[in-house]
Amino acid sequence: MACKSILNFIAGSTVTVALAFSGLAQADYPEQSVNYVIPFGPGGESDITARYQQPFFKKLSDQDLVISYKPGGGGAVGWSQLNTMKGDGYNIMGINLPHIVIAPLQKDVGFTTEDITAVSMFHYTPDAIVVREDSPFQTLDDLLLFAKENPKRLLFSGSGKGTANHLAQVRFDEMADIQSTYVAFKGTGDALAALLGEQVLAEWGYTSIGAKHEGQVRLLAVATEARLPHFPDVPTFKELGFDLVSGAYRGIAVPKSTPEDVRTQISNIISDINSDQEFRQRMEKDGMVLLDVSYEKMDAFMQQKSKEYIATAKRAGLIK
Amino acid sequence: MLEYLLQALTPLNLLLALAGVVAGTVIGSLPGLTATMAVAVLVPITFTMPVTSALIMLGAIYTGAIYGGAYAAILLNTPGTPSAIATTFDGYPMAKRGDGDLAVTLACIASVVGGLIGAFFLLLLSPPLAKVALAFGPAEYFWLALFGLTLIAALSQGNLIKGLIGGCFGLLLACVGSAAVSGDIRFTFGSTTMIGGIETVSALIGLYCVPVLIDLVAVPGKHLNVTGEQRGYRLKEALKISWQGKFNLLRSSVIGTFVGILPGAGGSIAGLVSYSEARRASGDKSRFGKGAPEGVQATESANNATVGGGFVPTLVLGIPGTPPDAVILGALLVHGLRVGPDMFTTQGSIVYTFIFGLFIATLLMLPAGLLIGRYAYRFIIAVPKGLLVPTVAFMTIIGAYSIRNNLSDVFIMLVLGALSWVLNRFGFSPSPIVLGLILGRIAEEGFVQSWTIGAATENLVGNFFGRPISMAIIAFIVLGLLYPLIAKQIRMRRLQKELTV
Amino acid sequence: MNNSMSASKTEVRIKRDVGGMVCASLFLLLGAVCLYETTQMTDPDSFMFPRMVITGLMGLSLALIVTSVFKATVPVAEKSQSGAAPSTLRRVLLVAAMMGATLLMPWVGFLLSATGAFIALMLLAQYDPWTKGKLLLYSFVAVAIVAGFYGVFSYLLQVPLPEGSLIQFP
Repeated sequence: MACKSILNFIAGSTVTVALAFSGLAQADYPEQSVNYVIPFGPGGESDITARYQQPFFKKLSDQDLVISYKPGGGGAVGWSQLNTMKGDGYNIMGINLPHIVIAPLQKDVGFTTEDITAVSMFHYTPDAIVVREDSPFQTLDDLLLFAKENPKRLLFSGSGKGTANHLAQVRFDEMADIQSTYVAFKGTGDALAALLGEQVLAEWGYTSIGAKHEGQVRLLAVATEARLPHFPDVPTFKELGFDLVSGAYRGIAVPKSTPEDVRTQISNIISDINSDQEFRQRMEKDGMVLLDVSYEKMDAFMQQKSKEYIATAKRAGLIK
Repeated sequence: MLEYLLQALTPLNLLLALAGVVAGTVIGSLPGLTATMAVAVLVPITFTMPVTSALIMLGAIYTGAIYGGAYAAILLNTPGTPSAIATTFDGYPMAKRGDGDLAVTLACIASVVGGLIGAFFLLLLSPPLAKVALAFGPAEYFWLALFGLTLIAALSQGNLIKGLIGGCFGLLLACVGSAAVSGDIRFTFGSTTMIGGIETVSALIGLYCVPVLIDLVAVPGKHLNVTGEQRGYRLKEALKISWQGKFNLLRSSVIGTFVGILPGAGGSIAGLVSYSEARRASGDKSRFGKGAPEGVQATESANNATVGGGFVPTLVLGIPGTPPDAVILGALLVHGLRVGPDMFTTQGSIVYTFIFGLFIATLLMLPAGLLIGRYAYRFIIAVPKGLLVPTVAFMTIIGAYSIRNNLSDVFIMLVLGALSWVLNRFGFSPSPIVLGLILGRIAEEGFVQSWTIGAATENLVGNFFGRPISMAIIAFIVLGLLYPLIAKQIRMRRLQKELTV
Repeated sequence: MNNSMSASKTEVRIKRDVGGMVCASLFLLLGAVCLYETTQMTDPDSFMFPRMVITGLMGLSLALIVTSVFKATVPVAEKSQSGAAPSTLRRVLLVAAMMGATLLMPWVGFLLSATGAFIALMLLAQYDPWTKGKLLLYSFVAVAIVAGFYGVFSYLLQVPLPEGSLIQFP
């Protein structure tokens, strides 16, 4: 009997000591600069949002956020190498939805959605229908009227098949019972050029395009819950009767081997950056909507999003 | 306007321009380090500077890097940056002939001329040029890519069929990986190495540089045989040749500017198109490919002109004209700058000061470039093979890796290198393969997009053939293909006439 | 590769471009394999262009094989400055060394494998005999170059060079 209680005591104290140490570890993270790998090339929106986060990370944690790039395969190259990185909390990678859900289902891309350990989803750029400033379409109804009278002739440019805006186009076509044509370009830059050059009638893009190119383009509708402060005159799809709230989501993931408490730490820092007023202003000025999906809420969030995306992708014929 | 010029001439900006040009030239000369990378790496430094100075520095780095790619192209047959691909066609033969120093100096002068002309267009004609850029739709890009592919005919002097096979192989390589038009992943055969596709720069190094290394190691003796005394810069000679080739320089710079204006088309395509035109316009086509100075002049002026040209859509439309422009645009956004058509009026001080800064940086490139070029030349000439081969090999490995931080790119580079050597042995030159690789993506996207639009609007033929710019390009293609045949016929007729008289 | 016809022979033999024909056949095979791959693709946008390219590749390869059968060709002999025969062994070893270094990098780390390749290539490219002085000088330069580039790329350009999983150095 005494042996048992001694054993219990030893076990209890070991656990307590261990907890104390991990508590110490928690308090000290980060102790050196953190590598932030972007699975796209420099100059893109993932790069820009990372650069926006950089100075605030330094302010909050007193450590540098070192940005490096691993482009290729629309992010696949980076994500397939995520779990080969050291899971010490000093290696984090940017992730994007719907990419990490859709890509593995299309073909063998070197990773599965379950391989990605997401710790935070900190913003999304809402989908929006973009038209030229001088376009005859003044409201979404104008567009719908044209689409109904001319099936298939409503040409939308977009940043690529399988991207958030493509999925939005598929869902909207279904909701509005119209047939539009999606012309896939390589990235938002090319899609915008096609719109401005009148190769297409409208673009399925993002609010960030409206923000960056004010005066050249207009937004007909945005896919958010409520009207955006930066675009007070632009109705949401919801207002107009279409339950479309979506966009390109960005978040942070860590290698699988990263311990639980470190994951929470990282999630907290990212959330703290999100609470910073200056950061919020910068992001919102560019048309982005900040989110609060921290590590605890991640599983539920991913499940819901995956269900949506998979259903849409199947309808679009992207996956079987 | 004058006050902007004075602003560009402040000591800080001058220093940044010079430092940028030097840094850019050195980085661009290393195979594997591209202009995009050079700009991306140095962007964080610019965050502490005022916007105008940051822009000047980034523009200077960009200019220097595009020029720096010529060194390795001329002396090692390896384009230091993709924009220097066409420089290898005549640059390397010149070096082998012992005229490497002349080629390097010519490249410097041509780069400066091209850069100045590109900046000139940027200064005076940005808004209308931006409209021209927008008029290029998917069909136009497709035909332009096809036009570039007709260069294969010129590059495969020996055997047209082999050249075309190489071109098709290159086009096939371009399809590997994820396709932009369909989101599908193709031709990876289950390997995760190939998901990212065949990266252009590592493929270039593999196809051009590795065979050179393989051959260097095979026989003793020096790499480039330079007989006689050191002839210094050969500046007088180079200036004379440059003056003689002034129309070539002018035409190539204009071509380069216009290609730079088109989003998605950069220095590599500018160099190829201007090379093709220079060859077509010259009296003696057979000299091209064997060390004709006009070839080097045409490509180097064109690719530096894309610097100025590329800023047109970048600043006016907010759409990057070339990959480094995308990075610069991102940096501008972080600085809080908004680009757009009214940028020239509302933010005139920043824009005009920057453009003048670009002029100055380009001018500074002449002395800086000549100096660096001389040392690069001396270095490559003097270094014994025992050190040259491992150094270059080491550079290619680290360079190919750094492009995407991916070891697979190094692997692909080596495989393509061995393949290229074998194919070259049997008469398949690597240049058509490179052409196919670079132009394949543009051609495919343009084709599929045009097809989608044409099918949806039920105007397939009209969409491809009916657009004015497309028709002009198609005319050029047909002319380019038929002209040699027609010229031959005319010559035959003339000969016959002379014989019968 | 065969050299040109020797004068002592009385018969005239047509030298065919065997190398070219073999390459063309390999391209034909590659085309067939890739064509099969395209049948696995569901989206017409995916296989439209590749099929056109593969058709061109296979058609041209066939044309090359057919025309080579009937065309006599004089293969280009390799020119060498010093008159010595080019060493195939060194060539193969060069590629093998670089390939080996790349394959070892995930295990051994960048610095060690690249240095190994550097040394191997140094030996391969050296034709003149080694003297003590040369050995010393070359080793010094080798270390300087490798260290210099490593420093520039790793610290200045912040490129995350591969770290070995078995051996970590530095």
